[in-house]
Amino acid sequence: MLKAEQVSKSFGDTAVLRDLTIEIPDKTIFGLVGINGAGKSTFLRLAAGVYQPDQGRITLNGQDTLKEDAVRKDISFVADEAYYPLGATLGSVASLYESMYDFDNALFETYCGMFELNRKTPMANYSKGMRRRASIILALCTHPKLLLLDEAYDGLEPLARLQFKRILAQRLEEEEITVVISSHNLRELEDICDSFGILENGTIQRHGDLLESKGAINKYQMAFEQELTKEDFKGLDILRFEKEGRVIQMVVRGEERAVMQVLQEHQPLFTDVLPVTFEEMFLYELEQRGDRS
Amino acid sequence: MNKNYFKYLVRNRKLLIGFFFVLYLVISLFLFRIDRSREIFCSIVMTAVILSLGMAFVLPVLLFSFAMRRNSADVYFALPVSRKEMRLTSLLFAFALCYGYFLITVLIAWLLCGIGTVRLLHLAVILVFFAFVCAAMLVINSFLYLIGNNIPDGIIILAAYTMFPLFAVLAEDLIVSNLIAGNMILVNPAKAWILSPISVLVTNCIAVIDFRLADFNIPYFAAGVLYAFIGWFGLKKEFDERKSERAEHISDHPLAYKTIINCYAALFSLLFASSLVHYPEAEYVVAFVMLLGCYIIATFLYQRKLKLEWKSLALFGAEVIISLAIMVVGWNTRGFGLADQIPLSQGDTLTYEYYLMADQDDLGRGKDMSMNEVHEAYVGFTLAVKTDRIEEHQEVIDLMESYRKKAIDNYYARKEQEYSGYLRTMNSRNGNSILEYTYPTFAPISEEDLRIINRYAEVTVNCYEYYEKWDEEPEKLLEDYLDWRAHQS
Repeated sequence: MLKAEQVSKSFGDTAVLRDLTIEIPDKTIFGLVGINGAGKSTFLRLAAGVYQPDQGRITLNGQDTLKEDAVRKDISFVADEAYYPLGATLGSVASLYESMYDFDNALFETYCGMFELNRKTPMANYSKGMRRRASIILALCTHPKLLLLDEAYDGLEPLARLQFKRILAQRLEEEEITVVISSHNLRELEDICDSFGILENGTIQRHGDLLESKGAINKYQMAFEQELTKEDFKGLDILRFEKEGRVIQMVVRGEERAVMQVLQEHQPLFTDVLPVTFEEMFLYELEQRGDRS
Repeated sequence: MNKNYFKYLVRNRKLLIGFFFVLYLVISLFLFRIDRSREIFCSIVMTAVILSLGMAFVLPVLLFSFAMRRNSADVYFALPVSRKEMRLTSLLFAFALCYGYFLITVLIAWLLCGIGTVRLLHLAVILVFFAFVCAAMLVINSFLYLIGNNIPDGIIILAAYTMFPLFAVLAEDLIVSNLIAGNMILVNPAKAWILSPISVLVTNCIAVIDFRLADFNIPYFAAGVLYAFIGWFGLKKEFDERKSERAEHISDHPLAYKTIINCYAALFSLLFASSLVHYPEAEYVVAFVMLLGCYIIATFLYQRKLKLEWKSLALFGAEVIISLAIMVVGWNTRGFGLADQIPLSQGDTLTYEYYLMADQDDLGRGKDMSMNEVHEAYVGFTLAVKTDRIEEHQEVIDLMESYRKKAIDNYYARKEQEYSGYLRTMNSRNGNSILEYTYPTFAPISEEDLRIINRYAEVTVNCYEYYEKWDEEPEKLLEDYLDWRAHQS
């Protein structure tokens, strides 16, 4: 389990993370989302031991990821920008991983074949997407217990994303692995993640199972005989309310049956219930917090 | 030390290791000759020292640059290695290269041309001492490099701190020359060399290589040890506690640009102030204005933005004012009293040297430097008095001191040199000169006083015109010259 306990981190006078606390269980693919500058990359780097927290600590299975070097053997961090020394080939970059981790060479060869990467080609000759693939492959071949992907998924073409998704799914079945992915592309994350956390104002504002959370929010489109306002639906947790004449579209958090019961009281002429996407859920959460503040 | 990380460093730099090794051997052994000779051995060792010290600057940059780039910092600081282990392993790797090449080269040199001419003890002392020098330079340079937050800044900061003592030495020489009458030369090395780690270490290294252990400088050794300690603990702090998010940011460390720019500004302020008090001319005021310009440009460059803080300008102003105040006090106290000092210890020898292009008809009248007359006579003497014989020579010493004080008075009255010649005083110990003053603003010694001096030292007069005209020997003793001149007239 990855656990962050009251983690705070500032850069100069700017507080990025404030008393952040979260537990991410094993065998989960956790999507970490937030606006630009929310602190996603900072959190991942803290978890990887690259940054030192100002306060608090992050542990993996009870071991501090910063202070205990051995635990970092079980952590692989893939940054948004791939690193390679001047003139390096994929093979020479792999030598660092071979030296420092329990690197699976056979698996590495398999993945190179799968993703059509030649280990003798200079990394400078790879496209951005190929370098991304190379970084993820190198991380996977260390058989990490915690895989941290900082927007590493972005920029992969659909086939590569599909292949990685299959690999991750297979790993989740076979090994004790936790994956934390940060991304702006929530549609991609929706395909792969089973849990999520929304990072805002330096803390995790909402987190949990993705399906459950999405299931708890629905979009309702209705038409009524008379014009109604938001005030008429006071008992509901409305995340968004749009009205055009007698047609109302609203996003409501709550169990569908309970919500429908309340809606039926106003005798709608028709009602459509639509699920929300992860992206929509994220946007509605942000809007709601914006309204409250 | 982390074995895996060490193996990675070796594996990743195989080509570099091999290339530098071959280059090292070729350059060092270029001086090799078939005949066994201690001199050849020492030359090879010195060449190896220079190459290793060069590597001691390059290797910290190569090994610690990963901390200066964001993407490499992400990879390396996430490795399952503690910062301490990473630091120690990198240093050990650098030492293995720097010292390892040196060791192999010196052993080869000893086998080829040192056996029989260089004792084993001498060899052992060289190897042990240079191990210390190598290690010290690696930790010092690594510490200085890591003061920066990005690679260019790290290199500039390392270069600036390395070069500063050289500028300090030049400034010391010029300030002493400006402020102290007599253009005082300290035959011993300038004090400012002690600010340079490489200088204090290499000076003793040379003494060890030449096996001149009497020349081994204890204060320099102590300074070298101190610098090594500072480097060790500074590197520990800068690396182990380094915030990796500093990578690629502006270098805002307290010891970075602010300190460097102000140290250089203060040094040049002192230098210009000493020139200004000596020669109060407009060009030195312009020098201050130019220094301010350089200060502002340097501040812009390091901040990467066009923003000037009043605090920076105030600090610069304070440096200039303090420098001027120090130099004015120095000038008014005749070089802080150093101009009048001739400190003598038991066993020292006090020497006066005098030389003047004088008028043939009056040896106490010097020739104006601008005049081009032929009736010249060159009068000179060297008077050397050991401290245990000062009493016997008190008359002549008092006489010489009166001329010396007159020369000093002329200097502080800002008089120009009028005559072709000089008055010089020297302290020497065991045959080695330790302090020298040369006074260009001296007043010629009268013939009467020359006669007094002649009783204690040989005063000679050279007159080439008489030699050419009358086939006489050009150099005569004073009394002979005066008699001879009297006869001619």
